[in-house]
Amino acid sequence: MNKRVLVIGGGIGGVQAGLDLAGMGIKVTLVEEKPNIGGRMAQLDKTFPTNDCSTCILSPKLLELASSPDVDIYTCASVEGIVKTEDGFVARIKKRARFVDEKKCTACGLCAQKCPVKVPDPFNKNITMSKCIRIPYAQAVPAVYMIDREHCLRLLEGKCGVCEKVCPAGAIDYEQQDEIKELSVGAVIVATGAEEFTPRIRPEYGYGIYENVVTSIEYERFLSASGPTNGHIVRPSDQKEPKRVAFIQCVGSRDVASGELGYCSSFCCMQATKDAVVTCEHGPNIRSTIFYIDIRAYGKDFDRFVDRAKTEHGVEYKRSRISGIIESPDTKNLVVRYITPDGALKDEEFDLVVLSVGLRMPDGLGGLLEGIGVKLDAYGFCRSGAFSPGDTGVDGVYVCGTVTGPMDIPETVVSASAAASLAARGLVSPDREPLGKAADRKEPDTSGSPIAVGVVVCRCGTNIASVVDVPSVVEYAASIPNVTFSEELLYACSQDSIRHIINKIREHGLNRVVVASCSPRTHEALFQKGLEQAGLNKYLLQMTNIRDQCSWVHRDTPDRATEKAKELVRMAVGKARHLTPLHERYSDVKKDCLVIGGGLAGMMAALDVADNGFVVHLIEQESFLGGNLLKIKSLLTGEDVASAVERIVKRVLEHPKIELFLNTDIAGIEGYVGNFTTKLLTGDRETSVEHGAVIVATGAREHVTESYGYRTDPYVVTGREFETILEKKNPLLKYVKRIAMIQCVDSREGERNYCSRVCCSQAVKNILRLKERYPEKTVYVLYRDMRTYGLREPYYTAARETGALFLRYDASRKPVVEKIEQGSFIIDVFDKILQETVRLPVQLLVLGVGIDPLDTNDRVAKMLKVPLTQDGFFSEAHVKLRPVDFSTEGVFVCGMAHGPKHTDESIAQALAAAARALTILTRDRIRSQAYSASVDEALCTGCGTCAEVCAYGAIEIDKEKARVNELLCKGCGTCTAACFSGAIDLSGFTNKQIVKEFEELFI
Amino acid sequence: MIGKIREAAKRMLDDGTVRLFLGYGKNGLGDTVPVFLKHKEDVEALYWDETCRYNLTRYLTDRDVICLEEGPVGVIVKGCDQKSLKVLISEKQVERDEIRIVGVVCSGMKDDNEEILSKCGTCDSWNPDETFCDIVIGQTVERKIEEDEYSDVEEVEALDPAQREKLWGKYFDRCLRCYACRNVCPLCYCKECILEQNDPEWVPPSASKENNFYFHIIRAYHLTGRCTDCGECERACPVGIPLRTINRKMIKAVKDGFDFVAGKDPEARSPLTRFRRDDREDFIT
Amino acid sequence: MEKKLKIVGFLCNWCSYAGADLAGVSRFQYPADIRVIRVPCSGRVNPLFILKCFQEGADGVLVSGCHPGDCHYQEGNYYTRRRMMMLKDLFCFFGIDKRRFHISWVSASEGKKWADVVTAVVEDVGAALRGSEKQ
Repeated sequence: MNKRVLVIGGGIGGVQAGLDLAGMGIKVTLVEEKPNIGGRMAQLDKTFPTNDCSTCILSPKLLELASSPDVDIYTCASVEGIVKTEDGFVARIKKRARFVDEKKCTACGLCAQKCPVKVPDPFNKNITMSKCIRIPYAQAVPAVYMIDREHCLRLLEGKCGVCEKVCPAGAIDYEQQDEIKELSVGAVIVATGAEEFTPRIRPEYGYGIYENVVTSIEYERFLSASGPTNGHIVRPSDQKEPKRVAFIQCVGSRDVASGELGYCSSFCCMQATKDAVVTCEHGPNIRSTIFYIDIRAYGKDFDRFVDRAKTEHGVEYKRSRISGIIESPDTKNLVVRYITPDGALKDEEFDLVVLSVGLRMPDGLGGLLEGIGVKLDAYGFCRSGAFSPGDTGVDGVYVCGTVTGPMDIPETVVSASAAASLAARGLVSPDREPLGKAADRKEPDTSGSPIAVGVVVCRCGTNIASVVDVPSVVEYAASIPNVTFSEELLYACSQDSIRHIINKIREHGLNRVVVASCSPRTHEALFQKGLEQAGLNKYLLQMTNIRDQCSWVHRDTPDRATEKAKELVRMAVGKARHLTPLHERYSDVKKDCLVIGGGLAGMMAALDVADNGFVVHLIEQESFLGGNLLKIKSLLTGEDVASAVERIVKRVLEHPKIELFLNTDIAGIEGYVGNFTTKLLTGDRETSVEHGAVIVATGAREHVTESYGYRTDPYVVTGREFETILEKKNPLLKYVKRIAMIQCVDSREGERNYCSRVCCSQAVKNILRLKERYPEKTVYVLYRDMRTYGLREPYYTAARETGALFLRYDASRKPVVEKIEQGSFIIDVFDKILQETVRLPVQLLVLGVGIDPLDTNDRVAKMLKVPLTQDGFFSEAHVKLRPVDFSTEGVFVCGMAHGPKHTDESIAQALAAAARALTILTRDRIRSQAYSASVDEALCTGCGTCAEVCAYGAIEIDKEKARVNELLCKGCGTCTAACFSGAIDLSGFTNKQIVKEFEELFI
Repeated sequence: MIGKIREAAKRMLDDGTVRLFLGYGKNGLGDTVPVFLKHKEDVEALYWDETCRYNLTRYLTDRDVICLEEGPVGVIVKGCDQKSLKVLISEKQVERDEIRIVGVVCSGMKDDNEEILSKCGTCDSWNPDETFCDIVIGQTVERKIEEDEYSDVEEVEALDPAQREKLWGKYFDRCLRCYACRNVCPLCYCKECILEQNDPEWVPPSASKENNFYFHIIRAYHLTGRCTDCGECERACPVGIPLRTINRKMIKAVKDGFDFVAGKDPEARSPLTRFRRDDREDFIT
Repeated sequence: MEKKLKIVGFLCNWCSYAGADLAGVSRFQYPADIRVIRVPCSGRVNPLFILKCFQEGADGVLVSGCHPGDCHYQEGNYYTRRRMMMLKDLFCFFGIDKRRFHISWVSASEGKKWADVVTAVVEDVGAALRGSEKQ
């Protein structure tokens, strides 16, 4: 079998799939049409709901991929055709000429400076001009320039040739030709993404007609500090800061009239909320207004984010339908004409209008996919079955990201990891190069040489430099003792900067490096890698944060910010002087996997790991497998659940690699990544299993409500119970003529301020099933926002078409149910359209109750040393880019343990968690961290205070001395602060290093 | 009393129960001093009176002198000393089976002016713990224990911050940094005191008022949850700094904050090595 | 203009440092008087660091960790809480103005709280110093 996987598309989906495959030791060829990888995420300013800087979290991933020895990246390339062969596929890849030699270009930028031809900059959505030879953006990966062949004078007319003359690297090659390569691969992952809807085809929005109407992606570029306006919000007509910004939702989405775009684009509500918040933060005088149909804040912590946008930032949300946008010709202001829920037509003037454009499938992809037998849906998406996410129906070809339907970044990352695990089947090799190889490399011994500190001060574009006087910090740094080199860099994190730093380390014989830039939490690993490449131990790096904790927060006092930056640099140098080389330790990986929970997610994760050839211990508390899914009859999309569950359970039971533990509890988990020991309790019988990774798939449960008389009246049921009633053709249905569904019961407020994600779709599904059989029955749906996001939207449209009545209510004016007698209720609900309370007599109440986290999550979390969210679900390492990882290495999460989700989403996460676990299980050795406590035996009295406070049992008293098990030590340092003698210290954060760090402040 | 002590020591040394016996004796000037006996013939040197103020447990951690690992050691403890011993055992500095504890009932020690020591007035353990000692010598003393009011601590607490700083400044100005307080403390058993380490140097070695301030804070902090108020530090201080007031401040804080009193249970560790999820939060910003 | 203060902040990497980063990402503005030292856990903060800071001339010290229950290392901040409780009490006893020493819990998601905490600490330390100058 061919061991290589072809990943088509270098957006975040393709990048994640590539990283996971490489992590499993599989060779990857990634083909990207654009000159750089990173996709649309690279164009975003920030990401919701944490407002993390998009570039900052993306950059490290791109660099990790680019530096992986297992990954070939073809940029400016496209797959022209794929042919199925006996052991895989042969892909024809067309690599378009850059006219710049990728191996020679150092991205110094001289060519672009001198190039006389200005062309619109596509990365900035053509808002600004760029040069004919260019790099898309500062942190672009790969950092290689490219000549725009459509505008280059040399290529078109044989004139100019300036770039060739000025290029110091001799990288310009006008003779370069497009190349066609044929590549044999074992599997293909399609991650080509979708494209933004072009609002030009809807002239009522005025896009392309009025200057001050922009799309949300264009607006992202305005917000971006490295964008065309350096992060200043200006309107295109007069470059003035707008005071009133309108965001128009669902442009090109939920557009029933056009039919083609009848789906919801999923992420735009949150993107607009984020952009509105960021807009408000730009100045106290800017007002943001969002015009929307429903706010679909269905993800983890999204509702809270919207609440904060309203209460803390004053973002206005106006439920409305847009009738049109008209420009006032004299001011170029825009009048948004909209219809309020009560039917009134209103006009409101804005300075700038942002159209939240949705996603659509590009034309043209169909040819490639259909050529190998992959079928697309009516919208052009490559949709998988709910029980087989990532599947295309063609063996060996998998899909992820928005090519499968609209989704946000974390879902894309999940689907990418899932696709990676599917593509890996049969390709994972048991014998891998040990991870330790690179680190075993000899580092030069610098202990004898005098301390030579190099200080790099990052401008971060204008992020730092617009507040902190960077040149003066550099100058100051040069005056600090032991600093033998200091300089500023535009973006210290860019690939060329890293290369530059490496060169300077060698050139100046530096043996300590201080980087004054952003947060070590996001960028330390990147710079550490640079040190390694320069032959220095990576722990000889000290970062100091002059952006997040200086320039960004002391905007109004630039002098003091500069002074602070100087002191921070001085402190960093103070610590750097006392840094010593540290070395990770290695331990063998136990090849088994533990999966906790035998519901859908747990079973799917177990199957996936087992299918890849590893033994899985699957733990289930109950005496049966299947979890919540056993209570569901069918999915919104029509799949029969019972037969699917039966199939999955059968596979689990028969799988030779899965060891199943039913009726089993976990008594304790010990160890660390690659080396866990878990005690299991089955009845009275205790067993213990050893494993290298853990997947948490403990699930969640339906909320038990006390509201609306549930549990006291059989005619008050939950949505799930109603599904059973429908399915079993319960006689109750004969009597009941009028049904009310109340959504968001006990949800999205107070303690349970989150959306359970599935209840709206459940209601829609129930309506469709009910109306199919009993079209005469009356159904009222009392809802707050209908959150049938993504490709679920057309089902909502269909449900409306059945005649079901959808009445919206506010959290402040909940429906009031009056019970007349058993099976007879009157509901008072304030109707927004009529502006009065209507009374609805009904015989059955169906409650959308949502999902609760399990009470046992706390216990499991403590055993695994992983956190929970404030709602009690498991909290992943990063909401955007590490959606199934925990901060604790070797532990992963999937399914509803992570948060409420649909069947297909749970499975995708399960596969993703499996993929992540496989990146560990496929290794022979794993590296443990370098930061560890150690004991000075000459000082140790053996009093045991350190051992008393160690949460990990990493310290033992042996022969009157404390002894640290470095593989168990997590490096928290709690022991060091407990020791009276100063006998136990923490490498990387020693007493001396910390003291020397703050002492510099008082010198 | 003396007879019984000598008798006990003699028996222990004779039958090999102990290899060494620690007790009180007199030097040529008639001063009470600690004595270390190896032979049963020497027990006549043992002495007992109201000047046996020293806390002999201090010597147990002096490994070069005592060499606990070479065989059991007998030691005389008063009720107050026995608390220090319990802390030492909890902190693994002394193993219970390495020593034979001779508890002696005490009716309060006196200073050179024949005044009863202030610490003895509020002492709740004139009678050593029979469940802890190997033998207890002396008739159980019946007495009503005065409730410790911590009036000395409260007096300082009643001052405003500036007055407190001034008060301690006055004392610390005198401090010679002779380390007597530390040297005499039974719980200061570190191999190299952190206050004398110089890499990093936590407190500069010169005895300035400012430096002494931090010296004493560190000393008090390191005794927090451990100090049993044996009062040896204050007794040893040549310049009369009321060190017990500082220690007692922390004893009070530990009692109020964690409901803990050091020296009661040889199994109990300092409350700083424990926590409760609902510990006080009122000092959090 | 207000006197420039030197306040040392010891922040745990996982919560408070992340919260301070978030304050930056969210552009919450606060006074520039704080200098942050990143430590893995608030449990790493040796009380001697704080004493040393004061001794060397710090106007104020802030120790900030994860909220109780949120510690990345499970329990580190619980020990911190006890240690700092005692230390603060001791400071007060010796007459060091308690407004110069602060302990806070700031989570990774509390950018705003971080800005508020620093603002409050700077005010408090400033007030303490002004108070002592008067005397």
